[in-house]
Amino acid sequence: MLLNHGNSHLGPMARCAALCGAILAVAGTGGLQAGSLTLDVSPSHPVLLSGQKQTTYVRISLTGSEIESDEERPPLNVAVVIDTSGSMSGDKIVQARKAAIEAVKRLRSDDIVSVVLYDSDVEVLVPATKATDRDSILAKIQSIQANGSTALFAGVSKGAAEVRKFIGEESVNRVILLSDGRANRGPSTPSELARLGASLVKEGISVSTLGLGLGYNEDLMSDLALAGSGNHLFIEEADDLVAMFNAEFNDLMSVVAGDFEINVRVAKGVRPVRVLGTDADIDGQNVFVPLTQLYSRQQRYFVMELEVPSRDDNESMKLADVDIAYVNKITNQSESARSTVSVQFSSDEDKIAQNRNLEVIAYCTVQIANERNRRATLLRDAGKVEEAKKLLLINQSSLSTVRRQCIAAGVDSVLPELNFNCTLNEQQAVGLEDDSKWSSNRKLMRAAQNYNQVQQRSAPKLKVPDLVLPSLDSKP
Amino acid sequence: MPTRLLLALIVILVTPLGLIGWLSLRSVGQREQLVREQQTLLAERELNDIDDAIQLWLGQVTASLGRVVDNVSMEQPETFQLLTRSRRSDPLVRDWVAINSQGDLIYPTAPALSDRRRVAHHESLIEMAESRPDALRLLPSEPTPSAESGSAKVPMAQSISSSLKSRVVPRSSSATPLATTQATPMQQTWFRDQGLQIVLWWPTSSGGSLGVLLERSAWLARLMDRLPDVPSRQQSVLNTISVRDSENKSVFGWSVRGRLSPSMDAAMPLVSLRLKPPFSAWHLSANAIDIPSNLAATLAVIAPLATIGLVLLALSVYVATSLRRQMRLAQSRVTFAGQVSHELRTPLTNIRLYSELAHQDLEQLETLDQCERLRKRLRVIDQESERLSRLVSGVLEVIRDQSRPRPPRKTEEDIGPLVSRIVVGFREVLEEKQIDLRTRLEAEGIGHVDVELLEVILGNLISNLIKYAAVGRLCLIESSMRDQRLVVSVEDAGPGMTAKQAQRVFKPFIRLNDSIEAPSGTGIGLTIAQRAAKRHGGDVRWVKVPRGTRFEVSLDVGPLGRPGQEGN
Repeated sequence: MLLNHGNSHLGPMARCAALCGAILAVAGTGGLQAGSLTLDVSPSHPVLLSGQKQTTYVRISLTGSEIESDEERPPLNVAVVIDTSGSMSGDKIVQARKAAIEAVKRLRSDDIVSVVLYDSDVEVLVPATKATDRDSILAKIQSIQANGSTALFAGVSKGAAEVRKFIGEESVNRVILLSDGRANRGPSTPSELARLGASLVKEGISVSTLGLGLGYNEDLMSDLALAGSGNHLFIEEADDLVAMFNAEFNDLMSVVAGDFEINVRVAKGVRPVRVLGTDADIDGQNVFVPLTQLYSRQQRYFVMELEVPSRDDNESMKLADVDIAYVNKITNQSESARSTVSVQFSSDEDKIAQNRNLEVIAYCTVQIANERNRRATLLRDAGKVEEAKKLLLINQSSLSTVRRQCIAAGVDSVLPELNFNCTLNEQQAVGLEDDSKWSSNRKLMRAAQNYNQVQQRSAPKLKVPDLVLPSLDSKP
Repeated sequence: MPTRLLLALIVILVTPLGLIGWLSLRSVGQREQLVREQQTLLAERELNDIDDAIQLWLGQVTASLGRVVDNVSMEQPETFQLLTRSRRSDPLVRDWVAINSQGDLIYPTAPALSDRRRVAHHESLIEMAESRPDALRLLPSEPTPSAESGSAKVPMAQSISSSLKSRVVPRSSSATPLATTQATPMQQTWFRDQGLQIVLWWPTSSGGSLGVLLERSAWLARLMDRLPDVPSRQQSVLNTISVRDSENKSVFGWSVRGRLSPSMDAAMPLVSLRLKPPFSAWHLSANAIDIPSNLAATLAVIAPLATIGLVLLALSVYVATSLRRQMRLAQSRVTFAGQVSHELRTPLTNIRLYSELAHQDLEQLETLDQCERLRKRLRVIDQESERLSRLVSGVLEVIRDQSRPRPPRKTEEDIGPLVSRIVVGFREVLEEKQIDLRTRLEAEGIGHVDVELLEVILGNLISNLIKYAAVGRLCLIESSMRDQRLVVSVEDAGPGMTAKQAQRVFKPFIRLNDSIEAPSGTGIGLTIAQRAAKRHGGDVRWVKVPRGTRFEVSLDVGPLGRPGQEGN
């Protein structure tokens, strides 16, 4: 989620995005503190209308605890996979080298690092090794040259294989892919890469993708990161590469929990419909939500859509039990947490309105808007510009409605996120009309979608805004 | 040095060199061939090892999945949780399916219709189940009609790979062996989405079956992982290796960087190995490292070749220089002979002049006996000096450079008297040898003749006759005019010669009888006569006659005048 100040209509977004960092610091209220995280499960409407079948949302929120020092953090096991195809030559490869070198310099001696290069072939430049022998690793990185075609799948596979060599529950296992091109050798569809990412997540390896320039396949890169439970970053200028790489490593070094098993047992009679923005495994009344890691101070939430049966007035009902098991990466111990979510039924509409949880509603709205945003991208791809624009404007209006309600109710914690998405959709509605900038805007759009879906923590480096929308600058 | 000699030397030099070179190149080629064959063998072994490693890995995967199957009972649907757990935790598992004895898909349960993506996925699982290996249907209870019609609708039969079909238990066999095959599942290859998908099927005791769709991306990644890393040169003979899919497109591979010029796809692989089922649509191909150029071996071939070449070269240079030296020596001898002959001429001319003057002086003296004697002796001096002068002219004729003949010095002469005067000049000598001179001189008219040349020609022919055919006691000289040509023939009645001999006699220094008894001579008489005749635009030919030898001289004497003109 990088913004280009060259796109003037996107400029205002930057302002609210700058506030994004703030929301990450906000811990869930009234949550359950357990080891390295806080679990909070809340319904969007604690009081539901009685006497009818209806759809409601439940938010499962995990907030990572704080890491005191660098010594405390879990060791990393990271494979840096660098595209060295011909298109990377010049400034890009120079910056990539620099970024990799900076990253290696930041590692602790018990961290494990490997470097995999791929073009038409795949070469393990630095096999998985402890970062003690830093000089020889740096010397090898210095020698990287770019040429050839792009065997992306094999590159990621080989990177994962290097991570696998020293895979451990205590470490943070990640493949970082840096590419500026489209995969053209071996499996190269977004779905194949997504399946690879999903399979790696099962092993406890996450995949982050850094798309450099305007030439890469953003669908492939973002789907891979999404399925791989990592970050997806759009880096338009090679100069930003070092900073983005650093941000990615900041994330890596702040992992507090991993190897999650999030099981939701939905109460009898309630039907789990889906988990917004997440490829959850729904099996009857059981919902399994994949998550590889939680970063320090990150608030990671899932919004589950449920179909609730009709109940009488004043009746209460348990909606679901949420069980989470994970590895506390700081203490390296398995921990678990459990929470239950229930609702009440009432015929009093005012009571329903009073009791609604605006914070949850806001996040639900963001996720629903994000799904619409994804649909808009597909429509734009199909050439249906007007329809896509319509969807984005619907997003904008629904988000600003919720925003107004939140402002009125004094729920400030969600405002930055709402502002960000509101502006995002408004700008994108304009942005998708411009054919010449679509390539860049589309990458931005996909990156933003990923940001919302994964609630990526990497603080995006932002450019100076050149325009501020007055409507968003208000707080009563 | 003459060009021909040089060429001969070059041939002598080049032929053995070429032969040796060709032979050594052939032996080098054979050695390379041998090395390549060994490399192919080694490369094949490496690829086979990889294939075995893949099979071993697949075996492990199958075994671990088999353990899941062992704990699942079709009768207890709650055990299906194990399948769910496996799906969620095993990176290689995409989906599990359970089919009951009726052929219905009982796991996973159908998702809510609203979730279109999951519904589509579920449908594809049903399709997969319907295309399961036929052997799984050979169960006590007949498959339900719905399953049959389903598989008929979907033309999945062709998607099952042929290798798999061969593994299928024939229909005639009973169902009992199935229980024992529980440990080793059947492999189904299924082409869907991006290509080859692999499904493993376990028949269960209750007549149903459990199938697992392997995660394509995951096993692809593991397949790639089974390939060795870029090797250090000592470890492996391979310099490139790649996994290729059913369309022969390289999916993954490496080449030792900097050593492979074009892309692997373009190059013909040294070795190509089809993977064992279920990956049999895929193959491995590899190229070996370049044959290490064995410097010692190459040197062993080149060194003797070079030595022989040098020796031959030195030899030919030696031969060439010594030849040139000898030829120069011979040349200088000839030059010396020529100079001497030239030097001889002047005193000879003087001798002849003075003997003529002496003759004239004698005429004026009174007739005395002594005078007569003196005249006789002078005549001898005269004859001998004439002979000597002819000899000198002849020598000069022979040693003169043939390629640049000196033009004759022709003067206008009355041919009839000229010929008879020359012939008469020999009468005395012939008489001395008791050779009967007969003449038939019919040539007449004014012609352009180099008198000296004509004298040389006839003199040599006649002295030849005297030397070698005196036994015939005949010298017949005839002359006539034929088309502006003066033809003079000299015939003897001697031993004669064959046509073959006649060809040789004109060559210099050739004498038909070179024995000691043979009359003394240099063997250049006929050569001189012929060369002189050629200079005069004519020739000397041997003409076959029944007895003896006849030489015919024809000379260009044109244009002819009429006799008597000169007199006026």
